[in-house]
Amino acid sequence: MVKKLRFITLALFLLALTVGAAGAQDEKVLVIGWEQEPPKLSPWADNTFGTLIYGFTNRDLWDWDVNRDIYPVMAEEVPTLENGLVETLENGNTRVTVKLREGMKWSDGEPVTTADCQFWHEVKMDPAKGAIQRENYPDVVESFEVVDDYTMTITYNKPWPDYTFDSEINCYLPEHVLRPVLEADGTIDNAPFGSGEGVVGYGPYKFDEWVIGSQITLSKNPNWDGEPGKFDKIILRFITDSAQMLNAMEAGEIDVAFNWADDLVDSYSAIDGVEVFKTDGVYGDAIWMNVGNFKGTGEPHPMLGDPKVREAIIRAIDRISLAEDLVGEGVTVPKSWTPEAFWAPDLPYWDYDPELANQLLDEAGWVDSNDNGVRDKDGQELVLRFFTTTRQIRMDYQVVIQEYLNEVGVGTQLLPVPSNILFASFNDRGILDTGDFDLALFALSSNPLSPAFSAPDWFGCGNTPSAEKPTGKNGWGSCSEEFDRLDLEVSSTVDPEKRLELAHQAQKAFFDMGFWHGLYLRPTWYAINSTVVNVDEAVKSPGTLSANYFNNIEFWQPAQ
Amino acid sequence: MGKYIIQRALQAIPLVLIVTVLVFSLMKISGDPLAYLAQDPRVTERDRLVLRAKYGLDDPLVLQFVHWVFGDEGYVRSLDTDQNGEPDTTVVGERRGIIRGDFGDSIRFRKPVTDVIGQFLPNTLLLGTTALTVTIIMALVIGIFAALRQYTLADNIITTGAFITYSMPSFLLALVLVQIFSIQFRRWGLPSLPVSGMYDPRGDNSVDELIRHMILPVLTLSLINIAGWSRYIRSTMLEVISSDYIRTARSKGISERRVIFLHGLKNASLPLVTLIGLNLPFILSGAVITETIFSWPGMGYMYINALEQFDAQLVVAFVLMLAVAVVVFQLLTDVVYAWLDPRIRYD
Repeated sequence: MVKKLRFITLALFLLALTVGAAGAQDEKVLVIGWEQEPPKLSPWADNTFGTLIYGFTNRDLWDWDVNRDIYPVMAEEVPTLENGLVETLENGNTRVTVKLREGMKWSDGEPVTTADCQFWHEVKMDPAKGAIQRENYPDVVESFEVVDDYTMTITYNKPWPDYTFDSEINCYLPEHVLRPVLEADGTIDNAPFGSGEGVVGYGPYKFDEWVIGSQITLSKNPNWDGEPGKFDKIILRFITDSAQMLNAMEAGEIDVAFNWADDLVDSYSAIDGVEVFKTDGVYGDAIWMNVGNFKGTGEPHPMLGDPKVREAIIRAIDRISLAEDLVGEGVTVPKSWTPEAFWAPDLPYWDYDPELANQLLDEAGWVDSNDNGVRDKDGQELVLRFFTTTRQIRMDYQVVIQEYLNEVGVGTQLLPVPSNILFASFNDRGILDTGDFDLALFALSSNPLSPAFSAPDWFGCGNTPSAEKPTGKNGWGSCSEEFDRLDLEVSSTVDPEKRLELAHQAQKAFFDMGFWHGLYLRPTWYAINSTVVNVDEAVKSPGTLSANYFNNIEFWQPAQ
Repeated sequence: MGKYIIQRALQAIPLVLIVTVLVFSLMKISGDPLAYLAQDPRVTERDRLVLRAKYGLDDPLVLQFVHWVFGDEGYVRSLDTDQNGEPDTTVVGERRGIIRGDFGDSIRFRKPVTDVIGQFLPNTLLLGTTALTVTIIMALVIGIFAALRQYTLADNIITTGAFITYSMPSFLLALVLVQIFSIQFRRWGLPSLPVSGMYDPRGDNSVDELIRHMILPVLTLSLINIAGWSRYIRSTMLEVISSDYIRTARSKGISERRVIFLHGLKNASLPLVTLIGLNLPFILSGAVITETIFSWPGMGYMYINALEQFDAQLVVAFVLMLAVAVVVFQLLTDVVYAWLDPRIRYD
């Protein structure tokens, strides 16, 4: 009898534990699966999942809608040449005036003023004041002046067309919170703010708590004067294992999963009550050819140095079918490295044409003289070493591309390696930097808002890494003086129309270098529990830029 | 005994040093810890150079190791960030070296490694000690039960179950448990167990929430060990209960329960001491796979993140901590073993 009672008590206890989770819920809570815990908050964190939190807690002076049209948020209006807030000085340099909206408050109730923007400028200009990404800011900003509490000007030391998103004015950090830390420590790096304590922002949600290893909790910001958030709380739940992210979705522990791999579309779609949608990304995976840095010598590649061979290889691959089969319907195959919105209407593109590929290889002198299925020339077989990272979709691409190339007699040796090996610096014998590859498949992100390439380290002449210049990043040895000249002009032309025209010319010059060939724009996938979130509203309000998946989160609504 | 302990402790020092050098060298030759910045054209070359200087990544390897052990306080590195042949920036070293408890800063967390470890260690200890306790109790219960019923149906079922469980990789066991108790139970309309974390995100962080979240990770950690350890207990128990002194105890009319649990179990549990001693360090290190799968915010979770993010300082500190723990607990095991079994003496 006693034994039975013990057993029943234990069983009841276990049952109580398993039922315990479900309780009455009055609050509207949204739980988002977060696949990487950031080490610190932005701007200290440089990883994607650190900066994404910004989308909930902060807004910028202006933002872009789904059509990438700019609109003001913290600013009264977006500065342009037309409204006179952008001036070209006598020396040709650019000065921008910004007027803040009055009445804005930080989440702790303190007013947002130009003092906050000036504080950001101060930190950006001096590396000793904080280990944050400065980009080109200290190099291109000449001065920053506060006119009054709501008006300020920034002057660049050159013509600066990208003043809205590159080295732009920003009012990201609350001066009243961080100034005391800076004065005490000489740097803001040790501020508890970066680790989630006392975080203050200007956005629809405010930062409440960061439980290390578990989650970040956000709640509706009572001092936000924009469109109010519709959820009382948003929880960013850290789940680093992709299979467990899927299980958590199925178990109802999270309501949103995003940024998951393309091969999980069917699995997420199969969950009851879960709907799946995607937005276009800006990370474009592409084939990169070593054209001018054969084995790190800086010399033309004996095979890929020939434009006919390069065209033949790309003509042999059906990139559109590949994207549809391996990534999904409607995925864009990029024609250039810069975003589609800026592409020239007549931008050249090499269609799939295996017959032409064979013809080009024949013309280049590569024939299968020994009947082994691989073309050869002067005793050398046309076999290419093809690198990528260990990301599954890339390895899948590699395998199919190998098949395509086999069809035209081009052999490949597939070499998937960890990303820290592929992208390591020249001094650390990185594969790309040392030119120790023939083909490579990876993505280098472009700026989603700019028509300029603005990456001379990666694409410009004279930037091939070497013992003399180990900091160069152009491991494939591309070089076109025409492209360098045009891109420099694009980067310094303020007039939008003239700039776009120059950008179109630069794209053609980039194409003519022939070392980069787009495969697909990596989409961002979302899975949403339709019993918690109104999916129609969410689909209408996805993030609009690559690093900002949740900059329209205030429009997301609970399901009815 | 005292002499033996001192001798063993002295032997441990070069062992730990060798492990440290090996781990440090492996991390250094396995790639650039700042390679993750390479895909981002927004990161300027100057930022890269300053970061590399801050972590001493361009110093000679031997110097990096020396700085890591003894510190680089006051060591000045001059940089030519604008590449004009003239140094224009200096970065002064601030590390005090592991010998003074400074394992450096985590590259990704940008705070001291000891602070990072301090955040994750308590959760690991909670999970690890619970799992170990469950393992010990269940292994003893099952082992003794099977030994007392040798070759019965119950013993055969336990043996089969133990072999199946023991041969399962922990990640598979974890996913099977999740599939059954979280996914299928939910589909069948039964009360289900949580998939991840320490608390329900919508819950109140209560103790019963914590216990619910611990069930599957503790089961994952325990089941495989229970399967193995119960076999040890069973075989040593069989050996003990057929020995002369047990027969003597029985012939004296001592109750069977007293014979088994007082006289038999003390000697049968000796191999368990070794197993526990060998496993204790891994409580500190966390069950890497289990913690990662269940998003349990412990040392294993931290370690995997550090590896993925190539946070060399954190990885090396973690491995060094593990190496020291193995040596220390091995020593403790020997001491406890000698205390439990007076026949064991050391030269």
